[in-house]
Amino acid sequence: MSAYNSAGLPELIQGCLKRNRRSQELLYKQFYGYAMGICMRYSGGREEAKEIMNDGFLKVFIKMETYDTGRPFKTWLGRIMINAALDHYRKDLKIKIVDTIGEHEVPVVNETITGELTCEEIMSMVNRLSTAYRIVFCLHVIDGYSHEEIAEKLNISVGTSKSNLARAREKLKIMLSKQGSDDYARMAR
Amino acid sequence: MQEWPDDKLDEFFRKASEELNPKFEPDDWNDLKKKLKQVAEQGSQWTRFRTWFVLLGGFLLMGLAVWYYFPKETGHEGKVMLVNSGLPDSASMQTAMTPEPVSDAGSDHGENRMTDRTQRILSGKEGRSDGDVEMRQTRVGKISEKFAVNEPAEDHMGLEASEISGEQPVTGLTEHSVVAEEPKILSRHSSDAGGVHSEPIRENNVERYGGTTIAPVADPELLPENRNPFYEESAKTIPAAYTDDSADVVVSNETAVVDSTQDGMQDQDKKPKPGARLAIRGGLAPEMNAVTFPDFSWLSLTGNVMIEYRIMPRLFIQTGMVKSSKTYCAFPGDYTWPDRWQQTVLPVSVDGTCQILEVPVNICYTILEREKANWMITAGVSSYRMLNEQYSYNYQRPDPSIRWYKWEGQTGWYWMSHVNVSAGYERKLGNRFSVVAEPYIKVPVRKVGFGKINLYSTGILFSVKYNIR
Repeated sequence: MSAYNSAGLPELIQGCLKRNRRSQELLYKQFYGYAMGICMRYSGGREEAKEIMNDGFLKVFIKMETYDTGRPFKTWLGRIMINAALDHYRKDLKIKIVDTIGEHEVPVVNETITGELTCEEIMSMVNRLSTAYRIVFCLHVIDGYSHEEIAEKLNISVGTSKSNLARAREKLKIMLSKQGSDDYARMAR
Repeated sequence: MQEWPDDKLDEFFRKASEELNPKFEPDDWNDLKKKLKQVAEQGSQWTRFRTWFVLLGGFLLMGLAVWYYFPKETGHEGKVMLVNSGLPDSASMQTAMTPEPVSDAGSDHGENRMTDRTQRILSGKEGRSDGDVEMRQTRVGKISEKFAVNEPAEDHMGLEASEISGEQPVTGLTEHSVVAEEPKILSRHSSDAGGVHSEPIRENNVERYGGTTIAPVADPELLPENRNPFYEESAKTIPAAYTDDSADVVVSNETAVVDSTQDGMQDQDKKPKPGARLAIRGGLAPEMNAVTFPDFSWLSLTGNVMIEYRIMPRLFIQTGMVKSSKTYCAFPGDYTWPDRWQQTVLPVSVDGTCQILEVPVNICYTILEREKANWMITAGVSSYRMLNEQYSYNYQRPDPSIRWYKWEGQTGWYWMSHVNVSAGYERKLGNRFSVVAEPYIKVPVRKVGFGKINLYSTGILFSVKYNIR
């Protein structure tokens, strides 16, 4: 099936252009993992991620005419998913975050423990970040956007973007250090 | 245990996000499918509304065009003559003014006599007695009888009319006497409002209408100082035309249009009577079908039986049955693959042959009525009943997972699934029979059949119509 699907991506796109439901389903299945992965890192949980992803795919199917076949479909799809996530959380981005990180706190990470974490566990730490931190962290660190681009996309200042990123990193380090100490304590028991 | 630098932390999370690949959940797709259906329904509702709106607008525009254009056209048709009227030179004007010698009474031509008589009238030498008036009135009666049988307009004027009466030829001037029985009704061109009304009785022509003595120089056009050279030339070409008040003359640089429209009463007499109230039609139509406009397939044949009922003088309501066999080829995207058919390999095309019974309900408007022919436009909706559907699925290459190569069955009624628009020409063969040629197009407003396709049809319906009563 995968061989057929990968070979038939242009056909699937043609089918989607003609609003063929079966083609839409096959395209959805083929890129589900990729799209869901993007949405899960930007969202606070799986249900939210599913909602964002389906909104994104709806845009894909409706606006398939705008897709330039000369460019990679996966990149275009990823961009749409990111924009769907930003649209979903746009209203939350303006909320001012009150940090609880102590200035004197220096997180220490146990590399042995972090090596045993699954990717789901690692990404769940990102999900636990506040929306503003999570979005900036994902945009900059994972998807490679510059602070200027992030500032433009989120309608915030470059300074706010940098600040949010720094605080997101600190929070993640603390989570990792806590994860390590909890696991260490569990192993010691 | 150590403090992680930022780049190491970034790399750690980047790698984790790349490895994250959630498994497919069918419920997620079902949720999206519901959303897609909602969007499609909203879209189809809008499309349906837009189609109706466009059709209604088009129908109204056509009606307006017909209303504005055709009444004027019918008023002129058959009565407009183009006369080459290069402006006459002075010699020809002189010819028109100079009486020709009469050599033989038997071979006397109206043109010469008219010119001669006109000259005598102009010079005031010709007097009129009561006897003359009586004799002319006798002629009036005979000519009026001739008018009553609706002879062509040119026969009504001048010499021919008088020759038929067997009496002294009646010149253009005596033509005034023909209509002097009652106030003449002006042609539409003479009316400011475009209507038909009587010519006012002027000082110049009061004697023509009521007096027993008729002033020889009654018409100011005939006075030498008022004489239009073009009129004189026209008089040579059409002997009696210049004396007919109902003739309107429009002079352009090279041509003159002589409108010899007779009075409105005669126009009304010539209008064809409305057709029968109830009629039946049967016919055949070569037809082409498509699932993507305008990629039409080869011809197929349809047969129809229709009954039509006149609800207004020009407006009919039609219904009946159309039996057709539609063949088409659909590509992925044109048809909907059934949800319950779980098959990973999809066909590259589908060949469909459908036996369809169609029930149209149309409104037909006769835009132009003639004695022997009618022009009409028709619009309406059709409901389709799929009697038999045969689909053959074509695949790019054989595959063991393919389960569906063909399907046959029927999916029943699709109410008001199509909009019909046509324009027709009807030729009458007698009182009861007529033949009709009618190009048409049927546009889908909803999807039909097992594959839920948009089925377009176009063709020309040739039918025979029988007026029942």
